[in-house]
Amino acid sequence: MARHWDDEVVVYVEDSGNTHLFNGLSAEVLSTLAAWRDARPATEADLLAALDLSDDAETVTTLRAVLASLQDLGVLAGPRAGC
Amino acid sequence: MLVADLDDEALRRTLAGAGLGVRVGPFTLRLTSAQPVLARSLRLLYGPNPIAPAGSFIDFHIGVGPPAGLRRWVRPRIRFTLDGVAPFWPAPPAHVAPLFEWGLNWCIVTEAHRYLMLHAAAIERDGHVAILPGEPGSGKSTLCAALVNRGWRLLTDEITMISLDGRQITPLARPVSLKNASIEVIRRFAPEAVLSPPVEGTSKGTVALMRAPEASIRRMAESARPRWVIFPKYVKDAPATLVPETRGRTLIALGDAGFNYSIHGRRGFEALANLVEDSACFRFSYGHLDDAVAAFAALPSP
Repeated sequence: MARHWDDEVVVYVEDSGNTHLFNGLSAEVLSTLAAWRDARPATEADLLAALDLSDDAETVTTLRAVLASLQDLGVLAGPRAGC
Repeated sequence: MLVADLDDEALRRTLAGAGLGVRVGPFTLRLTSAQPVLARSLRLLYGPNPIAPAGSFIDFHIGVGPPAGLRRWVRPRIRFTLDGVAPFWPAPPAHVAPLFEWGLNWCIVTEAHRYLMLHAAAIERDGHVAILPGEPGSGKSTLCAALVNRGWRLLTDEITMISLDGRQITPLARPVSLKNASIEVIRRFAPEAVLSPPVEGTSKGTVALMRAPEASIRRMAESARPRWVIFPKYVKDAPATLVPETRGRTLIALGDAGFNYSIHGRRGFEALANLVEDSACFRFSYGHLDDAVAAFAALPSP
């Protein structure tokens, strides 16, 4: 459950009862995944392209760290297929 | 019939007997006490409140009186009870007015879960509500007291009660709790305001209660829509300054100020998100009440 405002995303995680605020890359990742919800599984390459990011090693590492952090917080709904 | 319509003797007799039913916002409480000081305080601070007709549903059965045992006679104390249970340590009899207010706060925040409740003041103008969350020492109550003496309607000073869709604020119109230096500040700023005698030595220092404006009490059944969330901060001699705050940070801060946000789960989140989405959000610093009142008068229309 999330609300998106400008460059912020606020997410309520039902399992933990916690509310989280994200901005920057985390917010962009969440907004992109939310827009794709139910449309198709997201792959790492899809995300990089959608976010207009290069696929160099440093960027990929950063994106993976963001995804892992979101996963740990329980913010990503369901498995991150392909990511 | 209003509390003030009872003469002193009738008020004391009713309180000491079957108790007095009083309407406070959406709640009806029945208060029983043989303490003359409470009768005086009730007349002063709740005089404009309606007396509940016989047979009304009672939300809170409240008693204020001496505890059993030696404390009746040795260094006397009084205690606040809800349904016969005392949630707090007894206090000196002189503390009866703040004890009653803190006790009623406790009743509301532990029982009234049909609302999402925040630790915040709320005031209204032209049908639009400004919510003022504030940590102790932020100047929230002083600012609230000043504004309701300059044309804003008092909805609440301590507990903002939000409908579970986030679209309405239900008034309480109870006394504003002023502490320490704020008491004299408001006395000078609004000499016409009705204040209780200051009570020294409470857990919050010296406390005086300002009666809610009569017009606010008369309109305590009128809810209104939230349109601004403003985080006040008193800064000595600072100019009045409004700085936009993001909706995301506002939502997180309101969640932190929630008395029962976690109880409501996703519904509480939706309520706060709707409220924030409908509101302009600001940080507000001020050093002088006249400047603050002018800044609030010039708030951008929602």
